[in-house]
Amino acid sequence: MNTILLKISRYNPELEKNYWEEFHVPFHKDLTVMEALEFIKGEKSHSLAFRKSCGMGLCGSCGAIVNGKHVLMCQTFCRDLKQPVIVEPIKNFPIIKDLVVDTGKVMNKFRAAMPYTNIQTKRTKFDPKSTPELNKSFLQNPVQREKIKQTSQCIKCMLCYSACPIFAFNKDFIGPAAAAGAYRYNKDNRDRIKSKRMDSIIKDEGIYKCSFVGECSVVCPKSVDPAGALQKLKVAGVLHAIKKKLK
Amino acid sequence: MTPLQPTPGRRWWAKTPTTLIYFIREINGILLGILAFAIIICTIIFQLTSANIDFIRNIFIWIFFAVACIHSITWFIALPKILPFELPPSLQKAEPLFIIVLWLILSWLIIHYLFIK
Repeated sequence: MNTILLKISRYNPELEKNYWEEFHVPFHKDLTVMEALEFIKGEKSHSLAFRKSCGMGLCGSCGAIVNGKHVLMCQTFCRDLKQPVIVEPIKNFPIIKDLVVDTGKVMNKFRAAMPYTNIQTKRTKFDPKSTPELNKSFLQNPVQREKIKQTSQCIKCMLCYSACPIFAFNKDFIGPAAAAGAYRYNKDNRDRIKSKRMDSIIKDEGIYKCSFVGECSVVCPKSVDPAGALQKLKVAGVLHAIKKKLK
Repeated sequence: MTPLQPTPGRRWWAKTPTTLIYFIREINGILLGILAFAIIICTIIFQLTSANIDFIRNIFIWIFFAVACIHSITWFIALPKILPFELPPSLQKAEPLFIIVLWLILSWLIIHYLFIK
């Protein structure tokens, strides 16, 4: 039987030990890295820890570095990879165990990006007279939809944070995915809080910490182009600050 | 149980083509400034001493030219992403070439009409 060799970066938090372990996995042409890890966990090493959910590149749970490249493991076929297939956790995050990293702090950065339109501002009983805008449907035409289509694809897989050298050295930086989220809602025709959002993201550790390396856009599995969104937000931030001064 | 806190290696910038280009671009920016000052000072010193300076001046001019070209071209390639308006994808690909051609034409016009004439 054909086999493929996987070399996996492991971390045992109880012993605080970081080491490499090799496994041979039966190979077939449709084998993905995720399936290979599932085989290892089921048959060879039950203690192997990794994240997975949808298995079809939609949830963003299975981001990892495979043979030095940032990928979603469920979409990466072993037939396209050189042996040994080296699997590492994404960078710039604390490693909890093996391939599982702690993304909690970065998820909180999305709060600064205010990724919502805030159509209804108060959680009160619905009154169509006081808020007439809630009494109608919020339609988007294809042109308006096209403006947010690309940045709406973000699945928060955190590969962009892993690839970002600015985030590697400054963990307070808002980062690519949160900025792409802010850009997406700024461009939404239903948005009501662009000004507040801009105030939030142009603060000290906000969008201006980005020095446009561009690696986040290279690694993005959904072609979101967070680097492009960040640069456009920088220009928008300047215009926003000027407008505020003029008011 | 303690999570492992990985740190980026010393050669993080050499690991991918994008980070390498970024690093060269930013280093060039610094070199450009230093070279500009160096050339000004050297030119003044050489002019003051009024010795035969053709060979040394040529080297400085070629280094300055190469660094300026690298820094300019990498920024022209990056330029479509920092525009405040949206360019269609086909124009985004053509834009760096268009800017480089425009840059060369403008340079030729400046040299031709301001210096040669």
